Amino acid sequence: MSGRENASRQVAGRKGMLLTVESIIAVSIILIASVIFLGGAKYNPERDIRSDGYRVLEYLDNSGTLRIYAMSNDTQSIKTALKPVLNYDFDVSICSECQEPYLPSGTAVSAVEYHIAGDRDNFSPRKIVLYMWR
Amino acid sequence: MKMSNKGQIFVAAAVIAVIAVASFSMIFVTTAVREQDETLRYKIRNIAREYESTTSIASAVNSTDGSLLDNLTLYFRKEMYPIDVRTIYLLTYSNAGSNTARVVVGNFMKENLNISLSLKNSSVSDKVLALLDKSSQYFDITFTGDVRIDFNYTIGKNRFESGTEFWSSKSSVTGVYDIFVSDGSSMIRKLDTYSVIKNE
Repeated sequence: MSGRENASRQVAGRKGMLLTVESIIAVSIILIASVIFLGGAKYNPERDIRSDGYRVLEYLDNSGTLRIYAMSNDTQSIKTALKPVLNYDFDVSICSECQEPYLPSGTAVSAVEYHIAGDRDNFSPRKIVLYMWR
Repeated sequence: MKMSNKGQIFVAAAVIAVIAVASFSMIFVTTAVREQDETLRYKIRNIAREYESTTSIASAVNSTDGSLLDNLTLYFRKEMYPIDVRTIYLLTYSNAGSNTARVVVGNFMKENLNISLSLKNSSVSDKVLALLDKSSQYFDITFTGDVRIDFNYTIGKNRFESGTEFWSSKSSVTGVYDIFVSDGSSMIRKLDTYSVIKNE
């Protein structure tokens, strides 16, 4: 093997080593950036449940039934109306000073509130609390 | 030691990838803000709907001095805490038979305000109401044609204005509700209007 061939192999080896080091630097930059930018972002399933809760209560209010049931403190009718449109276990309270119903222990329970001022000729604000869990 | 061209391309690609990751992370941040705002939007829709309902109840039970809306606003402030609820409202209850109307203005902006009103075809053409927080005032007018009421108020450097109108030939109830809700990091404003012609 001539001296020229040796020198050319050494140059090629050095280039390869440089490429490897630079690739490692590039991958490291991407990994560090991913940890910094995406480390704090977490999916919060409770938000989905709450959003669904607001949607179904608004839906019931639009249909006119929520106001009627709330003014007659009829939680059972609200539950019956919600059952086909809500894919979670749930419970409902109607109150001005709410007390929590019996809720499952060891399970994350999400709650949303909806307020009703009264009906046609009766001003009597009350709060409907919808508790939901999976 | 000289860097190879290929290596520089790797580093350039890494920089592009970092920008892409940063942009992607912004989607998460934006989504979180949207979800937070979504809750406020539900709340503000709920409030606006109940203001309309209470305006209608007030007309039905002849309680046209604003007291029911005042009570409702205090109720919202208490029950929705820690969400901050602030409102300015203007209501009109008109009687086409007697060509008279009642104008009610309420201030629940957590500061004292001067609210300027300008009325067309009315016995009162301009009026400034000095309203303390958590208070409302009303005045009665006679009208000679369709009435237009514009009002404005200033908070800090911001001037807010809105208005309502009603026909002289039909008895009606109208409401304008300028509602602000805030959870400390986001604030949403909704300018809601309500108008119903009364059956006589």
